[in-house]
Amino acid sequence: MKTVGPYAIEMEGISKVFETNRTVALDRARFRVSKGAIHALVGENGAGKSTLMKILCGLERKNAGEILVDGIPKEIRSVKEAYANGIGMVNQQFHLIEDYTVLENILLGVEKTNRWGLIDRRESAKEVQKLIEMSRLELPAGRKVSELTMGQRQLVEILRILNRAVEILILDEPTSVLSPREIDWLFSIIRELRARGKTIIFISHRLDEVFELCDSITILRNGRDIAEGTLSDFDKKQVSFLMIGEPLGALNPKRSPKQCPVLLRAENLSVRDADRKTEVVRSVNMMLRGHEIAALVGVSNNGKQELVEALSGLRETSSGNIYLKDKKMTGSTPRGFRKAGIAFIPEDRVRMGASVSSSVLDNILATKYFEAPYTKRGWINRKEAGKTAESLIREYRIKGASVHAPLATLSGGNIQRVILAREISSDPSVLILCEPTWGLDHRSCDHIYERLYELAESGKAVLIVSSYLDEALRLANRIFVIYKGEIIAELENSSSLTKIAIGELMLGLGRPLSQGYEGDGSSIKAGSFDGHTS
Amino acid sequence: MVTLRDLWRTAFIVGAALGFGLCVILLASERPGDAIYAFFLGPFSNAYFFGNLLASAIPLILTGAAACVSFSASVFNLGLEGQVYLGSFLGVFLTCRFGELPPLVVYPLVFAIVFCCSGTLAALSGYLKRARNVNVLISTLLISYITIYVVDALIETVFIDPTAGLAATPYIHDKFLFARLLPPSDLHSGLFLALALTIILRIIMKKSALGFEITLTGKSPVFARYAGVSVSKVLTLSLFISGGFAGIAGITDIYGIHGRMFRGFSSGYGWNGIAVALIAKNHPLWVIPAALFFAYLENGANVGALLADITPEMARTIQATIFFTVTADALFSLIRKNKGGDAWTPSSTVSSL
Amino acid sequence: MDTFINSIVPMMTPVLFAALGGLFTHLSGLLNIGLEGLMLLSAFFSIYVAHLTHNLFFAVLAGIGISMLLAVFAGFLSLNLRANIFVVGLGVNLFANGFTVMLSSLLFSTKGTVFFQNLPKLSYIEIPLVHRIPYLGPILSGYGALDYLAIGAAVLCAIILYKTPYGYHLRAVGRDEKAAQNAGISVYWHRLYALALSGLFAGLGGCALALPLQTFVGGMTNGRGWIALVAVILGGGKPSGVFIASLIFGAASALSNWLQASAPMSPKLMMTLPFLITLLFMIVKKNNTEEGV
Repeated sequence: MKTVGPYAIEMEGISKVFETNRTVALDRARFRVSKGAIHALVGENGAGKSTLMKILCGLERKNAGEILVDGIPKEIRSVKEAYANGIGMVNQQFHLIEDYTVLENILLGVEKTNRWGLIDRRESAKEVQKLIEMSRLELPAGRKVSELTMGQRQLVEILRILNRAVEILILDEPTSVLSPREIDWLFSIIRELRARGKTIIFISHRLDEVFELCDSITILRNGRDIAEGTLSDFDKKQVSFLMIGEPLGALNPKRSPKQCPVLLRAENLSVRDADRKTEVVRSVNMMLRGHEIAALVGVSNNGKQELVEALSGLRETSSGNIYLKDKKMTGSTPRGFRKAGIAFIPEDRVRMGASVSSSVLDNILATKYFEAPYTKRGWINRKEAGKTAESLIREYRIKGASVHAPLATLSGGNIQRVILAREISSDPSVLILCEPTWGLDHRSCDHIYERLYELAESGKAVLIVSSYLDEALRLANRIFVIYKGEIIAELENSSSLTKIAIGELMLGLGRPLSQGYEGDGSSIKAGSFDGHTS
Repeated sequence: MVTLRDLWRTAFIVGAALGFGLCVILLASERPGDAIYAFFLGPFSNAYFFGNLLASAIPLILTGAAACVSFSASVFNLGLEGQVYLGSFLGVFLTCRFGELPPLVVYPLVFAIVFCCSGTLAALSGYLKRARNVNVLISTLLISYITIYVVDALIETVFIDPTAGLAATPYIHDKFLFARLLPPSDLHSGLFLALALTIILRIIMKKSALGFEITLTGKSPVFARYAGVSVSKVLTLSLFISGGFAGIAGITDIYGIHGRMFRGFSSGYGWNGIAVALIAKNHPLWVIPAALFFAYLENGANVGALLADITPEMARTIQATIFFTVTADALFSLIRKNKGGDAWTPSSTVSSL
Repeated sequence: MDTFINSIVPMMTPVLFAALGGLFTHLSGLLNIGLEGLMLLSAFFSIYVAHLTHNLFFAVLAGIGISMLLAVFAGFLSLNLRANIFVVGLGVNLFANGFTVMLSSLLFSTKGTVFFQNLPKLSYIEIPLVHRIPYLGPILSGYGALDYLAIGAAVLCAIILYKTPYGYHLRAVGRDEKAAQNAGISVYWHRLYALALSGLFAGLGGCALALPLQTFVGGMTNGRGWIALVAVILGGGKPSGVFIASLIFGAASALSNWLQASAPMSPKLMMTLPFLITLLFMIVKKNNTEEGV
């Protein structure tokens, strides 16, 4: 199973260690792409796909290894040098200037000037218009990027790269925010580019798309290349096995928490964005019962983040109410939510969930210091806090420096454990946990899953927000799907519930909730939801 | 915790500052030998100069501590100058008003009022930040300028001593003056007050819930809010304490040395306090040696002006060089980490101090 | 009254220059609080060189030169040595404060006012025809060369920022560092250029402050560098806004001077006016952009 030369790109023995959290992202990985091919790069989240490609396009520096472009060794130290070598990348997170227009964004860095050194607007506009026409899609060149849909933004990103006469185009998860119509369009563009002799690297974890579009494939796992070859040599099952390494554990033994009391309830909850202009969460009704693990899934930018922040008191709600065991929480402070027993672990662990420059002890103390026995008449009892911290470190097997060392000296996994230990030890009745296992190895994942089960078994409610549907399916009793700020489905987890069905709902393809949902043979009961009865 | 690196850093700063001072003197003085002797050893040559050194460190310790509090919370109180000014003026005014009462009654009263008023002046910026999202750095500064002019106006009109040759308030009664410790030098018992207050501040920052909140907010406001800290309240409180300390710095200097308030009284107590706090890396106890070092340079130049031909302003220049040296702190990490990737990535936001 | 109106523009000029400098650093994502110090240094050196050479051109050149030098040095500290730009800016101010007075006492043996009567004067330029327009003429015409230059510079900055690739790149760097980097724009160089430009303009501001008065006094900037910074923020990071904010400050200063001369009030109280008015504008303005603390 070999890809065939001549190669447009050869990367040999690429290694990358992130200093900040001391994780090995890439371990002597090899990556080769034939000229003029559409090449898939697949792997689980955290397998190192994005890092490898960022190295190729000059956004990250490699620690070791060699890159050959068209057979010639190259050092790619900056994006500019990548462009000079004909390499351009469309990132998963868009890199557009929000308050520049489409035209300005496409031209950024390669503006045409007249003899006065001023930007030649007419000439530029003509050129960009040609580019837009070539793509056969309507795109308002004069509109600001902030007013565009996600799909349109993606398009701007691609046009921006194409405008630079790039030979090798890297697309990082380009379909995750696109509608099916836009995906079709994107694929036709990609094929047309191949016809024109360009090389395309397509990063995805959606195997259907990979098999529909690509010619060859490289599979990464844990920072190493596991396999490469022409796609016809593989089938989906094989690839998926190679990606994951071992079959997923059995589904969580289902409990039936139907009879358990409702702990957290949201009633017609709406949240506006930071500018208070648009509603990003709209009239959400949901409830969490004791003894259950529920999952909230949705494509990014659909209000997932805003909803959980509102549920944990960190974001102002614009209307509706939040109740914890019938106690109205709306309008309370973040501390009020904490004291009432709602614990929250945000997606952004390093910035919001912890203070890496503070000591481990202070990080643990931060959400407890205002309560007995850690404080007495305004003075903090550090001895008590130290005892708690030590015992948590033992209980959660947190390895690393002493409790007085800055959190930053711990590895990523251990930082996660510190945060988890802190939140669970506050004995919450509801734990809201974003991306429970991001960046963790298998053992740590299992450890965290166990903790969550324990928590649910002891009568608490757990809400996880996960972008791995596998994880949601494995852990949760119920799955909420959020789309455009609304909970469009509440699904009981049973063996007939498939990832594909959830995935379609996440992209807004499912039929509305009230009519129930039937997808590809497996019938899914979408519980008709009535927020007021419990 | 004092690490070896901290010691190196301190040694480097001290060395660089003195080295630069040496260069300046060699360039500027016609009698470099005398000048160097006077500058470097002058402050220690007799009790008078040494007393003056300690005396001029007193306000710097207090304003340094003041800056520490607000910087620990990552708010930039640049209005220390105005807060010092207001505190001194109010103190003199009240002391004259309460002139009949014994000092032991007046001191606590005056200190409390001064602390609250100067503190409120600073806390006003915290309020403006919360209510109107006005940049604290700028509002403290503008309010400070306004305060200085208003106080000047009061000194020149309402509360002027017409017999004085300059715009100054009347003297406070002698009984209120702090005891001189090392006459005829300026050293006064306010030194103990400054040391005590700094130690109290250290205890508050280290042991109290408020101190914990301030530090947490300073290190990461996002995390602090997530953890349940009311960030805007903490910012306002830290500004209040900061302003309060600045006010105390002013009135202590009045009680200890001047005995009255005059125009241009605080020439740089606030700014130098900020510098002292930054050199001390916002650690209240390190403020003490940092302030002493600043005072040493200033007095070295003063002695040099008396005994040789150098000017006090030289001290300012040298102090500023120390400041630059502080910023070169990253030099160490740069050298040690043999080029850690994106070495140029600046700490671009103000809040990342 | 006429003196009031005619003194608005000269009052505005130094602040406008410095604010334009601050605008470039602000747009690049840095807050240069060293403007005050840069102005002060330039004020001193322009007077000194004017005294030595009796040539205003060299004087302005010297002012700009020293100011740019220090600004680039600050950039080196901040961008290469990762020093905090805020601390560096404070250092610039402290340094300029001490250094200028030290030099003044070394070179002129005075720490007070350095005044040279025989310095070449900035001539006042009457714009032909315009100055003859009744009422408006005296308002539009009859200012010094630097005053006109400041207004011209504001227009030029607007063109540079909104019509040239450099302007687009600079604003992109400040808006979204990552996005700019991704478009192949060097964040480092643009920030350094911006600091150099802030040095250039702050230098011009210093010249505009000292040369018309033929005078240098320690601390003569008296907060103008800070006000310039406020003007940048008040002006919403736009050249037009910065111009208006500087004009407001100029008017407030002129008003304050005029009232000091004519009103039966404490002149010190009048001197609060520019700061008070600026503060009020800061409070009233919508401050929805998040800029740290």
